[in-house]
Amino acid sequence: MEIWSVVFWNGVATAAVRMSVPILLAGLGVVFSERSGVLNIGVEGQMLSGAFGAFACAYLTGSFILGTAFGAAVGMMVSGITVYMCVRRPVNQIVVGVTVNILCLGLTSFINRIIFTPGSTPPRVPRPAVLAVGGLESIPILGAGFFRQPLPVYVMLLAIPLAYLVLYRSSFGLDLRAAGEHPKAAETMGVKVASMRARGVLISGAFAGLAGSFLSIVSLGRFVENISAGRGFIALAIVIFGRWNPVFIFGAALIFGIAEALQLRLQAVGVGVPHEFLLMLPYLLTIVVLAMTSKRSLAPAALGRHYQRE
Amino acid sequence: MSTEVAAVEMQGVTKNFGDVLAVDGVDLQLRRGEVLAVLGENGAGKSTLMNLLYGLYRPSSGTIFRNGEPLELDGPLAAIEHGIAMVHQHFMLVNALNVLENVAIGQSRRRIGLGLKQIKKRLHELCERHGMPIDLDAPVSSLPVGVQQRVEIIKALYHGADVLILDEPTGVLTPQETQSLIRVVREMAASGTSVVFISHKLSEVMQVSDRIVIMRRGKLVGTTTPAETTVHKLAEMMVGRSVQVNRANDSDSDRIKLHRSPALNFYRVTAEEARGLPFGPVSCSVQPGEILGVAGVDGNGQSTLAELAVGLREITGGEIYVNGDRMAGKGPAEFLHARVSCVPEDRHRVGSVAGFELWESVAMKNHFGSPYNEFGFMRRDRLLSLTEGLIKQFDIRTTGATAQAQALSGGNLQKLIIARELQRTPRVLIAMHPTRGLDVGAVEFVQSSIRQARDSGAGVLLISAELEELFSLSDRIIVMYQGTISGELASREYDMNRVGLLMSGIQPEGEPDLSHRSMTS
Ligand SMILES: Nc1ncnc2c1ncn2[C@@H]1O[C@H](COP(=O)(O)OP(=O)(O)O)[C@@H](O)[C@H]1O
Ligand SMILES: [Mg+2]
Repeated sequence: MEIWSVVFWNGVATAAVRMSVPILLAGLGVVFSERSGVLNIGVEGQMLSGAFGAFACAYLTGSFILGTAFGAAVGMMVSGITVYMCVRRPVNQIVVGVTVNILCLGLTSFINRIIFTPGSTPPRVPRPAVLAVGGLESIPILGAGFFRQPLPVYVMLLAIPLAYLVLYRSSFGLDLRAAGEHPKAAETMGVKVASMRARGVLISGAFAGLAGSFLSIVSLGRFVENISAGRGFIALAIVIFGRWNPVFIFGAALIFGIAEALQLRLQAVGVGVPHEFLLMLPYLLTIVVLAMTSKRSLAPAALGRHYQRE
Repeated sequence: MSTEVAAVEMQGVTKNFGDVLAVDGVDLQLRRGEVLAVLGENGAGKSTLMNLLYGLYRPSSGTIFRNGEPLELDGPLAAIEHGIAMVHQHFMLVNALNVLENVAIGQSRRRIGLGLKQIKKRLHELCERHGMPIDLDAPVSSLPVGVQQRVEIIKALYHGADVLILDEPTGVLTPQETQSLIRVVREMAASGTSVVFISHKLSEVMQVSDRIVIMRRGKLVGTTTPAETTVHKLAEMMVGRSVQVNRANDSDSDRIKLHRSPALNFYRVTAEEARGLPFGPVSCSVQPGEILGVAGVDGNGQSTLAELAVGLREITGGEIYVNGDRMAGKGPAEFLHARVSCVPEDRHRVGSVAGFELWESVAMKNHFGSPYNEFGFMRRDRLLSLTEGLIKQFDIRTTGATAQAQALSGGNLQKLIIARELQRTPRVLIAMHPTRGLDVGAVEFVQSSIRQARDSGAGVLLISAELEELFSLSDRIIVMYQGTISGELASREYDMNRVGLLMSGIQPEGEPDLSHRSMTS
């Protein structure tokens, strides 16, 4: 296959959108947490746990829906640690996040080896079939990207307008943002800051779990150790790049999706670059993008700071 | 007098924080539709008293009645439900949101949508009725401080408050904004709202209130009305001894010898924008032996000016000279070596380190070079005796040079910082809000120290929000507005009204526009 052919770029487009979904979902979740004022560094671990939970459940019950729901639930449960440590108690949010990530990496690998004995052929679940949208799918590149995907991709993309509406058009979203900008002012207006923040983190955990489910049972059809491979961290970066706004975050997630898809496709085509270098592409991009992000921060004013009621 | 039930009545209300008795057995009545001024020095307990009414704190003992019923509040939310609202010294507004959204916060337990349309309609009515024009769709961060304060008031009225507490509301306003606030307050009282007006400024208290209560050290020490009293009597009650209200300005412009090189010279200086405000170009100079006052509403570039003058920030254009030496590209250490001293805005976080002992705080600017440093080691003994000397000379109340900085009261900490800065016999002294939050005794001391520094030849840049302080200390005053200098006044031209106009960026009649003037030195 030639690099300058439509077929190649159609392939890239399909993969790019699919690759961007988990980063997008995790990023949308992080917006809820950070808009409420809590850094959710643990998103990587929540994603990884969600991926494992979803796979195990889907494999054991044979139900895709149950697996997805369970993955989200596991992500949410793991984020409960962050709620307890960083909202109820004033522990440093970065330290807690890093610890959660390490814990989840160890636990998922460990439980995976117990349940699914290694050596034998790795267990799989069937991946959802591609559902082309008649007519639109044949548009070059765009059609391949947005109209030739499995059903879950379409459903997950609906999370963007949903997140936008909740954050900017609902009173819950307003109170959540107030808690992250000026918790004391929010409190005087009757907002229960701790409860808002707890909800923000739990929503974030659920989104991360969903992102993990997508990785294991939609993209891959199986679970491998450290399947998230830093995508949670990339999500943290695109939230900054996307200025804590769901729409911009989708744009940023797409850029990373393209980088990942491109490196996969280039590996497949076989350009004369060692594949390790291609693998670095998305992560390198993260560093470049963060370095370019403007100094004038648009972060929520109280982000990362514990709030104690008087 | 009347048999009408008071809107609020306090009986024997006391509040202590640990062993600090902040409010001590206060009996107080707030009638319907009156403006009650609560007057007192910093630390007298005014804010604490009203935070008790607002439900932020609970009284240690005593009872508060609302319309004759005992009032038990478990937080500000409950206060709002009882029609009590408070506008704090630091506004409780979310800068990133617009006015409407700020009012709409806190509905999530009652409704799903925001209902911004209805809120807008209601706010329009309120703004109209009370003569307070506000752009409801503007982000709060883009509004001038005076308008932000109106937003706070409108927010309170929207939530149905008929008892409104204003905590030092004029501290951040220009004289003109103050006058318009006083009009709004009078108008609200006329329409039945009871207003508590906390202040330590005598003249505005006389202007705005129906009744005045005076607090000192947590106690109510007097009740009076503007008709029965004078500014002078109020000052005495507030401080507890007789004071001179207006000190004469002893500065004399002939006394400033014209030096060839100013102590500090800004020439068309620009800097990167800070907190959304561009800076410059600014040109001004301070002669040795001169105090240059900088007036302006907080947040109009004064902090940037101070930071540039001590090398904490880099200039993006123009030149800064200290004693004739070009300082572009140099950092705080070089400014320090050029003998630039600084009394920073935040004495707790910038001026000192809370966990340091006093001698260490003094050492912070004295640890390089002999005699306090030998072969890279601090001479603790010499620093200790230096500190002991300063403690005596500046009458700092402490247990000794090894006490912790955080154990000092605000006034004593400020004295320590000033002692440290003056001990270096500075050529340039930058003093930013040096008396903010201090009691009268400490204020007098700090002001006389600044005069002393000037008399011994330092060029002083005095940044302050208190116009009276600027008028009594400065040889000249420049006014800052939106990051540039909007005007300059010689001491014979000092006039509240004129400075007030310049502070809001309006050029008084016949005043040349100075902001584009280039300095010739
Ligand atoms: N939260 C607090 N904790 C401990 N001490 C406090 C607290 N708030 C106020 N104080 C003390 O109570 C006294 C009265 O303070 P405050 O009510 O703020 O005075 P004012 O408003 O009249 O300037 C001061 O000595 C202050 O240090
Ligand atoms: Mg106060």
